[in-house]
Amino acid sequence: MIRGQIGFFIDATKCINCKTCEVACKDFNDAPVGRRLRRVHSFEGGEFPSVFSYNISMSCNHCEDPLCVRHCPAKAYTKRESDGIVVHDPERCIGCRYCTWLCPYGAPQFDAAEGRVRKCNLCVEEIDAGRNPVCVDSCPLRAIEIGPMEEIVKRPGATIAIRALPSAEITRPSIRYKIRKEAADV
Amino acid sequence: MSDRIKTREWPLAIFTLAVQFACGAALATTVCSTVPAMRPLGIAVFPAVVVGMLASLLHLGRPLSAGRSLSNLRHSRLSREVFVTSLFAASALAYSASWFSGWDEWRFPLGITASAFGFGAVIASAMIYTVRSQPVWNSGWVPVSFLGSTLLLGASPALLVGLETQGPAQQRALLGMIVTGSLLLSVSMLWMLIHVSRTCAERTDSVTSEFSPYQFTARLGITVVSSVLLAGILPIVLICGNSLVPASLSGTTPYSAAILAVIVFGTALGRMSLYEVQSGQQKF
Repeated sequence: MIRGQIGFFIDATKCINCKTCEVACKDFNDAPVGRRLRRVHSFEGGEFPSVFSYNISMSCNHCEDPLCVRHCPAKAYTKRESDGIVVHDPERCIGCRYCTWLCPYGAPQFDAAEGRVRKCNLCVEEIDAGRNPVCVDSCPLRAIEIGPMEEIVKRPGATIAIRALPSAEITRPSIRYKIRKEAADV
Repeated sequence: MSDRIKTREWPLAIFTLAVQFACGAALATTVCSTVPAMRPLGIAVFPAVVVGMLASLLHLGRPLSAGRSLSNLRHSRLSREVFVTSLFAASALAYSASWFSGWDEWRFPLGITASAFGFGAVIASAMIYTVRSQPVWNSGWVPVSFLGSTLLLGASPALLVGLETQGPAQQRALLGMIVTGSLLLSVSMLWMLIHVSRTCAERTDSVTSEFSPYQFTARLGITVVSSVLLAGILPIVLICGNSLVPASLSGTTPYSAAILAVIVFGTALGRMSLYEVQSGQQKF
C-alpha cells in the first residue's frame, strides 16, 4: 500500500440509494446528462421470502495499481505521490478511450461532445483546501467517508470482496465497504 | 442495446483489418517478388496502411492531438502500437515504391523488412486487447485470430492475382499461408467460444449483461463459414478448379473473386464480434 494513500470507506448498510452523492457530484463537476462520475448501483437477489438488495456507491477508486495511469498513451493521468489520488488532465486527453477499456469499474467516461474522457478527481481542489469531496459532505446518511487507507482497512467489517464487483486483484482499489452478509462474495 | 451500439468500433475494425491485410500482402508479394503480376498488390501495401491509420484517427475524440499518443512509449501498449505501426508505414512506403519504380534488386530485402515490421504491428495491436480488465479479450485467442487474419487476407488476393504466372513453389507458399491462416482462425474461434462461455459462467456482471449470445453466435457462424470454410475451398478451386468445378467457374474467375469477397466480409464480421464482447464503459 502506498504511504499516505487516501481512499473511500462506504457503509453500504446505511445507503438507501437516494443518489444524493450522484447529484452533488454532477452539480460540482457541471456534468451534462449521461455523465455520472459517481454512480449508485442497486443489486437484488434471493427468492421469496428470502430476498435481499444492496446498494454500492462508486466512482474512481484511485487504485494502487491504476491501469489508466500506466497505459494512457498521452500521459493524461497522474497519481499524486503525496496522497495517491489519480488525477486526470482533460487538456492532455486525446479521446482514445483506452482507459475506458482498462478500468474494471468504468470510472473514466468518454464524452462524445467534448471528445475526451472525464473521471472523478476526488474533488482534489477541495482536498487541497482541507475540505471533503462533495459526495462525502452531501450524503444524508453519512455513509461515505474518506481517509488514509492504512486506517480504513482496519475498520470493522471493511471489505472489498463484494458480489458482482470485479476482482480487486486487477487494480487494487483504494476503497472498502461495510456490507450486509448477502452482498459478500464468498 | 444502446450500450452495445456505443461499443461498435468501426474505425478500429478498419484499422486492424487494413494493417493486417497490408502485412499479409507484404509477405505474400515478397514470397512472389519475381512475379510481375504481383505489382498491383505490392503497390497496394502502403495505401492500405495509410487507410488503416487514417481510420484509426476517426476513433479519437480529438484527432488533431493524435501526435500525443506517442508520449508514453515506456509503459503504454497503445503508444507502442502507434510507434510500431508508424515504422511499418515507413517500411511499407519503401516496399511499395520498389514495386512502383521497378527497383528489382531492393524488392526482396525491403519486403522482408516491411513484413517484419508488419508482424510487429499486428502483435502490438493484439497486445492492446489482452488486458486483465477485459476478461473476454484477455486470452490467447485474440493474437491468434489477428495472425490468422493477417495470413488469410494477404495470401488470398496474392493467389488470385498471380495464379497464371506463379511457379509451383510460390503457389505452395501461398497455399501454406492460406491453410495456416485458416487453421489459426479456426483455433481462435474455438478458443474464443470456450473462453467466453467459461468467463460468462464465472462472472455475473457486465460480461453477461452486455453480451448478446444469439446475435453473437449468428455472427460467429457467418465468420466461421466465410473465413474458415471458404478459405479452405478457395485454394482447392484455384489449384484443382479445372477438374472439380465447371471450366466457366474455375481459376481467376468472378467465382473466385466472390469467394475472396466473402472471406473479407467474414473476417470483418469476426472483427466486429471482437468489439461486441468487450465490457463497455458502463461495465459496473
